[in-house]
Amino acid sequence: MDKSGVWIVIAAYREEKSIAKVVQALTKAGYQNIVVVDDGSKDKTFEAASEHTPHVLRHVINCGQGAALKTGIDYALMQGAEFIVTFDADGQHRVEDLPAMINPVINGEADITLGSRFLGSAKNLPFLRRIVLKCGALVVWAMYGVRLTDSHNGFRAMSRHAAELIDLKSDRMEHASEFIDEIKKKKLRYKEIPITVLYTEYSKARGQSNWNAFRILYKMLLHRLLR
Amino acid sequence: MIEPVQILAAIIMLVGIVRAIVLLRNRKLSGAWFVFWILVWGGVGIVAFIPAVSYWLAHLVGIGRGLDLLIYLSIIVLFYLVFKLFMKVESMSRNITSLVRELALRKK
Repeated sequence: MDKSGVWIVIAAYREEKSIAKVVQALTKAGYQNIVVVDDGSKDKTFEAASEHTPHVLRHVINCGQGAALKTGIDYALMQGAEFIVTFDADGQHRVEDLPAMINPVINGEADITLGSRFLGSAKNLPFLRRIVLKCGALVVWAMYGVRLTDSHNGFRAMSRHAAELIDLKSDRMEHASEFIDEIKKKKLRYKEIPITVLYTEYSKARGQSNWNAFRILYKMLLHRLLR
Repeated sequence: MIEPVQILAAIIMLVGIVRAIVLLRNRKLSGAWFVFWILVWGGVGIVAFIPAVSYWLAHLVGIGRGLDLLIYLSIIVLFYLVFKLFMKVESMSRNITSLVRELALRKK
C-alpha cells in the first residue's frame, strides 16, 4: 500500500499525555503525513505534537472537535491529500486497523469507510456507554435513514472527493452525526469496517460523558429544525 | 389622583425613550428596533395613565382583565427576544469558529 497520499487528521484537546505516543505509532507504521489540530489546549499538546510531526495547527481558542477536524481536513486537502483518515488522539484507535479502513477507499469500493467497534471489538467498553452508543445509532437511523452499527466512531477514512463534498457545520460533538447526514445527502458510498476500540482508564477519563448524548441529540434536532 | 405606580411608570417610560433616542443617534440601534422600543415604553406610559385602554384591548381579544393581557404579551415578547438572542449567540459562535479556523490555517 502506498502511504504517501494518505493524510491522517487528529483533533486533540488537552492530550499532552497521549498525543506523542499516537503520532509516534503512526509514524512508525509508515504514515508520514500526520496533521494534528490542537483545539485551543492550555497544556503542552501543541509542543508534544510538534516534536513528532511538522503538520501541527493550533486553534487559539477551543472550538470543538468538529471544528478541529474540519481545519485538519482543509489543511490536508491544501497539501494535496488523496485520502484522509480521521483518528482519535487519546489512543483509543489501533494503527493496525488502518489498512482495513483505507484499502476499500483506495480500491474504489467506497468513498468513505466508518469504523465500527460493534462489528469489531470494544475492549472494556463500559455497559452504559454501550447502551448510549446503540441509542445513538438508532437515532441516526431514525433521523437520517442510514443504518449503522456504530454511528459515533471517530475512525473514518475518505477519498479526496468525499472530503471535498462533506460540509460540516457543527463545531462540537454533533459532527459525528452530521458526517452521516452528509454521506446520505451527497450520495457517497460508505462501508462500515470492524475495528477495535480500546477503553483504557485514560481514555475513559478523557472521553465524553454519557450525559453529553442528550446535548448532542438536542443540537441535532435544533439543526434539523433550523435548516 | 396620581398613584405612586404611575409616577414610577412615567419615569421608566421617559428613561426608556430617552435611552432609545440616544442609542439611535449614536447609531447603536437600528430604525426598526427604535420603533419597537418606543412602542414598548410608550405602551407602558399609556396603560399606566389610562388604565381603561388595557381593559378595552383585553376585551377586544377576549381576555377578562387588562393586566392578564399585559402579562401574556410580555411573555410572548420575552420568548421572542430570548429566541433572537439565542440565534445571535449561535451565529456569533459560528463566526468566531470560522475566524479561529482561518487563523490556524494561515499561520501554517
